[in-house]
Amino acid sequence: MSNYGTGLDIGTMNVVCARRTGKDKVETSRVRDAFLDLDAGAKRMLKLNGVNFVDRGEDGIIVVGDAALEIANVFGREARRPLSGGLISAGELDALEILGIMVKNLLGPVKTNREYCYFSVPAAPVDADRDLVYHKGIFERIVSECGYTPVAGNEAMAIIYAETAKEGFSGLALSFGSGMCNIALAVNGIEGLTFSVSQGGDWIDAGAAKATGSTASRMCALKEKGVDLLKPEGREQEALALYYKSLCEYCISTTAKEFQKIKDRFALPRPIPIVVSGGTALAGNFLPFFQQTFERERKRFPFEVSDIRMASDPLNAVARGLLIQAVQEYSD
Amino acid sequence: MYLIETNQPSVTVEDLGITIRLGSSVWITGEQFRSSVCLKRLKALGQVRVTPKKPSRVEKKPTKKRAPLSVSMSRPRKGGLAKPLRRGGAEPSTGIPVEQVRRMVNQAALEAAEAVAGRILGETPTVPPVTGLEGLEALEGRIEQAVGRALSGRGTSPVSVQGAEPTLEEPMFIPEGIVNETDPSVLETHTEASSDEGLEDAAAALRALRRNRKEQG
Repeated sequence: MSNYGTGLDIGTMNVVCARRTGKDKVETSRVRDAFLDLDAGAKRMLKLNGVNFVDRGEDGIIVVGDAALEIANVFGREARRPLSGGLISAGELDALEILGIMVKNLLGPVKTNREYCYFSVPAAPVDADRDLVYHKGIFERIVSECGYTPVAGNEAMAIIYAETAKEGFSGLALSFGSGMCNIALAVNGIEGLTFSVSQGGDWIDAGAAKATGSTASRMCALKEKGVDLLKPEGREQEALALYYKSLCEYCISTTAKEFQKIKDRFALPRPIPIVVSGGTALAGNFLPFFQQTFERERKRFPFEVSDIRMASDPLNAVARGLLIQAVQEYSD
Repeated sequence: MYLIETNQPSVTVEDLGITIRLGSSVWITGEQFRSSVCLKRLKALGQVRVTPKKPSRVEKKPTKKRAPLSVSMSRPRKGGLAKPLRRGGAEPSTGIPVEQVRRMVNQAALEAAEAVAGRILGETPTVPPVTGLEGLEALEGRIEQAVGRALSGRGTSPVSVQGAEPTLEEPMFIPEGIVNETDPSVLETHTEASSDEGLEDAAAALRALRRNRKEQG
């Protein structure tokens, strides 16, 4: 099997690229989806610290990725985000240029002429009026300008391809992202239902912060430091657990509601697994927490579930699923 | 220099004090481009396309002159109703030949007038009988007023793409040149190598599934 083809997961918090490097070997590259603009006077300081930046001449300099967050702390500023709620941020004027830099650096040069690159797009949200056409068009253009053949792939369906091969690509995948949650239901690789909800990790942080009089940044740091959703300690962790519970319940009930709309034309011949993934699902004991929440709704759930499991690599599952789709373009 | 075009009936860049209309384009300097926040926002929203270009110094071959638009009447009027647009803006001082500017303006006026005529004729319930020269001139006056109202932009609505797939007739401007080839690699990416025993099997299974589906198809 060739090493051609690449998968690109474009998320609100991270952008991840996956590429096959040999038999049973995969390389994933990740960059934080953030940037910071600074005056030209900061060049010397950044060079001394070995921080790479993009020089825009009289328009200043731009630091991209993880370094942007670190430098933002130094200057007492907030890093800017080119994506908001899973889509290109309409209010961020420099978003396109920054996304171009990120994608170009992650993908690198093509390994073959017009190499396939499957990139993730979210499904349309059922609870917000947001346009995906522009978002998809921009990334098709960016990936194409990097020399690749762009193919858009649904984010949650990528998890189906990555995690349910032994079930014949049948399952219900939930990708708990930062800006939104994507959900997909498929049987034998046929997409039956795909949608998203506009709540995710950022919503949890904002809600818990408001409830406790804290800040979203602090809530985010608390999550990353480690919180046990089954045994939260203190007011802030309890608030986080509460919002996590609300998000899980919302995703499960919305899935049930959306399935009712298609159940007459989409048959499920056997019980299917539920796979959860995404950065927001990395909170401590998220899987048993989700299982507990689901068990309360199981009797009312419209189809049978065989088991509930976590993706083998929640941060990279989407990129891996997109890579699988890209690699099969080159299979004999 | 930068060339601004739009797919909307009319777009105004407030901080530059310029208006771009469908079918026409406007040239601005690099300084204007860099200083305009409104233009950047419009570009990000896909309502305008901004292309760095140099105005052509070579005179293009003159296009065929089209007959001016005229509304069909019992007594055809010489010259028709299509009058050159006399807008407040002066000809752009960008080195573009006057003749080319005139052609661009006429073309924009013709296209706009054709669209407006179609709307007016569709909306007009009945036309009262016209007798005599005075009646004809009154009708021409009313038609000119209707055209003028429509061309002023009132009653037109921008194409909405919320939730809609763009059609061939409604292209959405996706900017070009987003990726700068000269930008060096400046990102520190976190790279991990891992073993993935299931990848090849999954790819093979997916390919077989799609092949079977195609054959059954």
